[in-house]
Amino acid sequence: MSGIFLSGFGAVSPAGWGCERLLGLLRTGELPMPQTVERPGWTRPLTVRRVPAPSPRPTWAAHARMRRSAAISQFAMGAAAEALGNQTAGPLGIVFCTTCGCVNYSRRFYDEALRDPSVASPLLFPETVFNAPASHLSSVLGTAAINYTLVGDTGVFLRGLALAAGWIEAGRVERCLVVAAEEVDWIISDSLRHFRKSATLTEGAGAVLLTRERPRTLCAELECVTDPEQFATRGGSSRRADALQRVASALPTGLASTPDAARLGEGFSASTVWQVLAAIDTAWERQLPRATICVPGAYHEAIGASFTIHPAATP
Amino acid sequence: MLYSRAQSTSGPRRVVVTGCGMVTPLGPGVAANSEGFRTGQTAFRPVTLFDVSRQRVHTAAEVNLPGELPVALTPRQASLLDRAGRMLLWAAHEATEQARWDSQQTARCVAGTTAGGMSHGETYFRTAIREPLACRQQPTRTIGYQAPRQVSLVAQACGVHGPASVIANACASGANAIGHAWELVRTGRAERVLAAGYDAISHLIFAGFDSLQALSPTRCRPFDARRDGLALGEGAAALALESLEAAQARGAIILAELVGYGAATDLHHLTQPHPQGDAAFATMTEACQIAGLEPSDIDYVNAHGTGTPLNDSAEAAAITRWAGPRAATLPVSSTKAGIGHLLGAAGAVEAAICVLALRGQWLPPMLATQTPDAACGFRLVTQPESARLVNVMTNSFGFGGANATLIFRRWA
Repeated sequence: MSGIFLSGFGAVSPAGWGCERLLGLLRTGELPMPQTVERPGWTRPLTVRRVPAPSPRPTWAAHARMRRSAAISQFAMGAAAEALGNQTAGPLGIVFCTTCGCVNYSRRFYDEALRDPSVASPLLFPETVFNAPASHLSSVLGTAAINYTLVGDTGVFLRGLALAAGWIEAGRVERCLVVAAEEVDWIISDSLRHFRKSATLTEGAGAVLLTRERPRTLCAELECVTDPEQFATRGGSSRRADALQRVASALPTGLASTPDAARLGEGFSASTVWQVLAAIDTAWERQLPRATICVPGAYHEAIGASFTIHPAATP
Repeated sequence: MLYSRAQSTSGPRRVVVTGCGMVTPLGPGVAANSEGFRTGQTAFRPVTLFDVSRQRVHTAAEVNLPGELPVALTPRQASLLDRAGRMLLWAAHEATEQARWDSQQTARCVAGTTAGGMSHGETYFRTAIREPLACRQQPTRTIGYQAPRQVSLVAQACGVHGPASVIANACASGANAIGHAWELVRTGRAERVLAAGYDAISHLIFAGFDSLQALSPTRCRPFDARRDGLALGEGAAALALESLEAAQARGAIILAELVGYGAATDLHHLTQPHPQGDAAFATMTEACQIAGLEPSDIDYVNAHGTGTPLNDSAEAAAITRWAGPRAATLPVSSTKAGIGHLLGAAGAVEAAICVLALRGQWLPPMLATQTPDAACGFRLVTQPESARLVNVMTNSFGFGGANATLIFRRWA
């Protein structure tokens, strides 16, 4: 037994704010209507799925750090707050995972710098840094413990789980939030089209609270995270499928069929958390002993993980 | 497996450095850098990489990057590496060549960067705006923009075939990467890890620091009472880390031992440190505790020392508080005085400098610092000097409050 438990979950997605909205949507399969985003120089807009505004407005939104923060930070904070729930006491490590990062503010700042660097906004620049969302999480949650930002392909969230579990096992922290988030911007949607013409970019976040202490409720335990398998983007989908097959073969037999979070669109790292939530939820519902997931990355890497499902502890 | 509950983690293992590589504005390779840092050379000059005519500041420390690559890559692979990636390749190649790892044995790679691949992203954006229908090279730029893709490519080119990962903790990235690699080996999750930091000067980042008015319009003078900002630089460094048992079993030359790592988060502000350097104090304290050392055991501190008024005063307060009675005689300097702030590469390059200083028994000076700030309760190294060094410490702090401290011990 690893003794590393998934004790809290959070999600922000085009379905809305909260895990229940995401899982409800994935169960029914009724996808929200896509929106469009203008692509400069094109007459036709790009198709995306965005996160609706939260209602009611979360209390953390009034925190000084969050007022000017980018959408990706808001999504990350929303998911983290839900995963943490009332468990706010004590040192808390944070692993923030992303594929594209704070691309909206980066694109806007670089655009300003190209036009006239002498008036490029100093308010935007600090929010362009990959670890800005992670910094906001630590500040709002009031935890000065270790905090990493991992940048990686779609499955980087699973790398984050492995990192956080290592911290807990090594005694560096007792609890750790692992959060993944992405935001929509036309430049990402544009770049995605070079690889998949029909892809719909989506945004949002997901979070898991890892603890050494086992919750008394129905819960999941981190069993393993596979080594990542590299594949070349040249060579097409067969290379990706081969890598995925190698990952799957490294995992114990688990739940084969779960609602597919990818139907929401390409949400990179966020899609992976949503898939983890869907897999665990389905395993719980069907009273299965294990949930497994395999993630074919958008760019170069496949990776997988498995989770053991535990029934609620008897009082 | 990256993680498995069946994986047994052994008790803490000793971790040693068996390879070191670096590329900085002082030149490519350890030899050029060792002499440059020992004598306090500087490498600032007018920026040539992009137009800075409309910026406040026009200088930085650029790397004279060799035109060729140290290892053969296919044209496709080479096209994925931007300036930052090429610097990483040079540093990683030097480190792995020195370590002489058997490529049949699995090694991991952990790299830190703030903007590896950024130049691909900048070119992608400019092309997308100016030629909205253009597709040529845009997919390659999309892939090249992914720092993890660059790091994997470099690692494999250097014979490191295990999982590669990227930590983006702003200007502490390089130190965090080395610290994480140390934890992987120390806890038995990896036998050997190539740890690196890399970053190149990019237009976006230069304009960003300029917009914050953080760049010095005069010269970078860390801990000087008249300091007025930082200077940007670029580069890469890589350390080959492995367990002491593994190194000794294969008769490797050991360059130094990595004995302590502390990490914490400064909650004060996104870009400004707590005025008393609370998180820096915490990381120095934690690194010492893990290493089993007292401040009196530390023979030199390679400070983060950017040269900005806020960073240096906060770090000075933290070092003075942490060092206690030792502060008055504790030698401290910032090598950013010579090469500027290397952002995600800074922590790795400064760690490599500590290894070089331990090997050569010298202290790197800051020649430009002439009037020490009154907040410095420690001894600033402003002239080249020899010293007896056993334990040396390096600090790295970044935007977002990422703070890290590493402690290296002489291997004799």
